[in-house]
Amino acid sequence: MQSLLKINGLHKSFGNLEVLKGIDLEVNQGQVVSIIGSSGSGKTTLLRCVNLLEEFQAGEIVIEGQLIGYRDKGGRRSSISEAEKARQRALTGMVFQTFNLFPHLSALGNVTLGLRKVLKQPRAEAEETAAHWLDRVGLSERKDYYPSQLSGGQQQRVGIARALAMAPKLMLFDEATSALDPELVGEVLQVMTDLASEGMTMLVVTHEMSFAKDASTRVVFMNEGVIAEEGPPDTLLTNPKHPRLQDFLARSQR
Amino acid sequence: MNYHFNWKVIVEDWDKLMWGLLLGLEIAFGAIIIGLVIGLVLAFASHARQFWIRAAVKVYVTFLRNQPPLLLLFFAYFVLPRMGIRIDRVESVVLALGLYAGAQLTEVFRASLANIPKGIREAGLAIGLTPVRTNTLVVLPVMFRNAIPALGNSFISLFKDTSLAAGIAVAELTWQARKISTDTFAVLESWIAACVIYVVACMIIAQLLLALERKLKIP
Amino acid sequence: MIEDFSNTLVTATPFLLGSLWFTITISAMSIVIGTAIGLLLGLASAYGGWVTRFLVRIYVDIVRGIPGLVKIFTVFYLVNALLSEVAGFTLSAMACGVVALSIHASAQVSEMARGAIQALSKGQTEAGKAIGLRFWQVQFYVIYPQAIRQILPTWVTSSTEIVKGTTLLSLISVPEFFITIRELAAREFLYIQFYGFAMIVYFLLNFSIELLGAHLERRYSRY
Repeated sequence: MQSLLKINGLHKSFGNLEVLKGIDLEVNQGQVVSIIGSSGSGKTTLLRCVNLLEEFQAGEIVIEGQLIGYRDKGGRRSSISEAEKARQRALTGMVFQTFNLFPHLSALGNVTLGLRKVLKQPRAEAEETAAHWLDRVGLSERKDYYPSQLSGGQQQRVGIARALAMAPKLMLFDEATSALDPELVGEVLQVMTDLASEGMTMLVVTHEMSFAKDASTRVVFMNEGVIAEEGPPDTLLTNPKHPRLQDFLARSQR
Repeated sequence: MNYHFNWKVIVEDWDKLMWGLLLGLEIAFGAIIIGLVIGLVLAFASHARQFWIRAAVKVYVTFLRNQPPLLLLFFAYFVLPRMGIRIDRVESVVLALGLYAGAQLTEVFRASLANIPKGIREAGLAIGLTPVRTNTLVVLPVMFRNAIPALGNSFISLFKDTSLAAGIAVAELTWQARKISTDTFAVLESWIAACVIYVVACMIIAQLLLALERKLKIP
Repeated sequence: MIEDFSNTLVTATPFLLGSLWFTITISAMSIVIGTAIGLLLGLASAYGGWVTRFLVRIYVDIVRGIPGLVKIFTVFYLVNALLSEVAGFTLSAMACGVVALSIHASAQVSEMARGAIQALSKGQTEAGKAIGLRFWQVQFYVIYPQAIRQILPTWVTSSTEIVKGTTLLSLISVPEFFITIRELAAREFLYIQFYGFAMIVYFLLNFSIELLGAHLERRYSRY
């Protein structure tokens, strides 16, 4: 099994506050890794470093053998151009907690934007690809609707289609269901679960323990900027060793 | 009351009033275009990384928007030629009002920009667009469409300000009305006519802008 | 260039100061009168019956549809013509200016006031009534303090518009600051200097009003 994502010694600070204190993580192709932890543990920041929405001060992120975020010039970090960063971001797809759909474009438009402007596909081809992905997330009937005309769950599914259409190697989910009304969570989780079972490599920050337990290959528990415990879902969730994890799971049971 | 209403003069010179109205609209149009360009550029410039650019924008906006437009007009018409810039009456009105509008519109666009959720930019970056393209393909269209109501108000405001051109003898509506009133002594008629024309014109423009807004609004 | 200007400036200082004072006086009067009328109209249209609201609406729409300069000319020519016919006297140019500028301000203020009061009215009035306050008490202790805070920014804009509007009075020969600048610039051929000087003066005048507004906003924010 091939290593898709390798993170070594990742350190990230916001000013004087160190948020990631040395993260080591490896994700192989086809694996689904769920990251759980309380707010402030750094899990979202970790995700945002992988697709360069945040800059990190030390450590390495390697996707499919490519060093991400900077160039290595004989052991020293050298910065890369915005165009290069944009290309590296296209290796991953991100689904946001607040959906972040482009309000001025229809569902179809949201998905085709990247295809036409980044992958330079002609309009007809882009629309076909986009229609296919919208159909995959169950929204082919709504493809001409605008974000304001869609429910939260539908918007998030468009967000997933938008990310998938770019054919990323790795999908990043940043608390994809946290902003949804309870009745709408299910439809999004279903899409994510289907994606997982089809072999997509996924890094999922989530509070949905059901997903962590049923759909992930591995669960990672983060606490105060480090990975406190890591393991297969069955053992980690039912038999937590780290005391913070025990507290966290006890609180989550409510 | 011994006043005999003499509406005939208004009817006779109606075309002059209408030409004046048209000139006012043309000036307003020219000014809003200038203002739009300035406003868009400066709104984005006010987020520049270099401090001096941000400061320069702030200085321009704060200074200009506190100026009486009539003073700007006189400055453009009287001072610029002495600085070697050849400019005629109408052009100086368009320039002066354009710069004035630019200051207002910078604020309008800045506010619209600030109201765009940060996440939308991030979504653009996440699908692989560079920051520049994210701005042009995603941020700009949304910002502009959201700013249309305020833009419409600015245009109406500019249109009313074109009346100031009468101060440097540009033959727009106000100047025409004053001429009729002083030439024919039909004071009541000419000023009533001027007021009515302005009010009706503003109402019509407002309705047209509302229709435009509805058409261009983000659904 | 600078030398001529400073010499002229020194000689002209009394005229400039006098006319500047005139500008400030006219502005102040117009702001006060305009705000007073505007507040009354705003209150009337927020709480009045449909007839009142309709009349205020007409007033506001008409006044706002007419450019400031046209209002000034209308008062100067039309109102004076009427007054001399009907009452046998006319208003001085300065009085015309104050009347026109006050009317201009009143329309803006009335809209702001109406908007602020209506926005606050229902919830806050109910809360006030619920703790036993009577109508006028609710107005003074609950609605107005909050309404003032909301109105302040737009009121500052309206007031600076009045100050800028005083320059228009030069077109009916009111001896305010701008006409003095125009005359000096033309007489001495020092256009850049005098117009530039005027820009600085007007900037300072209006910016001070902005600062005053910001200060008042902060004061009224202390709950």
